Amino acid sequence: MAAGGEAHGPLHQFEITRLVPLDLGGVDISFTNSALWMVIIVAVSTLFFVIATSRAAIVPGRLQSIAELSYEFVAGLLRDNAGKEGMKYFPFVFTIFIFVLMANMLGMVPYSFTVTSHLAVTATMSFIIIIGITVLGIVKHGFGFFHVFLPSGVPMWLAPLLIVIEVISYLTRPVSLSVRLFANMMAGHTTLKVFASFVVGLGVLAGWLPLLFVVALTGLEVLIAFLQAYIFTILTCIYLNDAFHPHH
Amino acid sequence: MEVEAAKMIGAGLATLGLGGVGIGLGNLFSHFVAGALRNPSAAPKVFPNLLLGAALTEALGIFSLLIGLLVLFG
Amino acid sequence: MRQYMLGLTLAVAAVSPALAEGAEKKGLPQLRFEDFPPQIFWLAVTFVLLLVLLSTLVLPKLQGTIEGRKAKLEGDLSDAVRLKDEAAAAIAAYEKALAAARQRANAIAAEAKAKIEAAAAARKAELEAQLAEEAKAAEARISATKAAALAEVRTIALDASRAITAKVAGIEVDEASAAPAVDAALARNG
Repeated sequence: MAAGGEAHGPLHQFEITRLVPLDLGGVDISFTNSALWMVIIVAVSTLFFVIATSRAAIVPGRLQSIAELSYEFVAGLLRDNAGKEGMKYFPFVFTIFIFVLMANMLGMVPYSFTVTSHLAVTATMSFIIIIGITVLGIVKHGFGFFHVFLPSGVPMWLAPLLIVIEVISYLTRPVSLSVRLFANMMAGHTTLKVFASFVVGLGVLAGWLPLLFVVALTGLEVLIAFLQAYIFTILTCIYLNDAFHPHH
Repeated sequence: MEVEAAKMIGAGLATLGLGGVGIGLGNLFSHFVAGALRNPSAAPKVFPNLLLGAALTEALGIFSLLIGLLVLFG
Repeated sequence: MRQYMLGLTLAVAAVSPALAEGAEKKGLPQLRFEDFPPQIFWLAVTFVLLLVLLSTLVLPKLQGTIEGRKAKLEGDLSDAVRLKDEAAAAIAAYEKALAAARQRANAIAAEAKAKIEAAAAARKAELEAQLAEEAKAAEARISATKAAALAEVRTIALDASRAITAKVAGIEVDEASAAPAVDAALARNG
């Protein structure tokens, strides 16, 4: 907000600015502020985990506890939702969780850019997840994977209707997965920004009220940031389960 | 400017879908709390399911919100 | 609740020109498709980088630490279980020995009792036999004495009846004629 004295709208924080214009065979691959924050996410999370695991003690310290807690958390999610076969994809799921969590959390830092508040990022992630899971399922089960669309024990006359519904619900998975994350992040940050602008607008006398509200909202947003990373990961695990067990 | 006005009305109407989400989330959490009070030891086991249900419910509301945003800014 | 607030705030933002004019370009920044390629490209680069970094530098180490701890815990636990089993086995052996000792003591006591009882019974039987024998001998003696006494009584009664007859009636009765009367009288009285 209001960097350099000029007033910006609540959507200004989502503007993409090209820091280093780049071009690769006619495709725009400029290094933008979004890309900068992605690099920061990678740097921060790698640095954190490398430092946290540098002294691998039997009785863990604080940092090591956090690292192990996140490991156990994601491993538990994956094991509970996708079974033992799913553990093969643990590094991928763990990276998704850390990336989304770090993006959401670093987005809470003032003046930062929230990578996951952009549809391009969340949609790419969720489409790659869903397409990858579909390909994996077809490779693993062949035609049997399409049992996903027809739950067992359904009367045959209901099958045409049910298959249509299941196909639609399968196709909306990437949409809902990406839109949920992006819209939650965007909604939260826009709301914060609007209330923050009320603080300035109402001045010294009445500005305290929205300020208190902004403080409370920031706490809520931190919770949402974690919750959305959790939801994104658990849904990935649940969809992954379909690739292993299409007969549900 | 009549199109602009209609857009805003449309966006406002699109957000009405969030009322359903409010009802749904209220149902979800009230039943969770009621169940958790009856059987507190089982509450941690269904807590992930609660969050999952909340997320799935919320996603539907966010779709209507998205429609509103698209109408307003698209 | 957040969605309501967003709807409200967006409406406010759209209505109030002071806020809305802050946005340099029209529309949502998220829906500006010319911004998509750089984001997708850098997402792919950074995500793969993070995946490689985490899975080479961090995850093997974390997994090793966690599994090492689990193995150590399991080893300690199995040691504890083994020691507990050993203690239980020792207690069971002790109790078994105790039970055996008790049983043996009982057996010895029962045997002694049986022996004593047998001895007592034998002695009692012997005594009884002896007593019966003595009683029989005594009875025999008594009956012999009695027969002798009865014979004596007959002689005395014969003599007395003869003497009385001689004294009272002055008749000398010989032994052979007096005997039937005496026997008859004895049989009647005796």
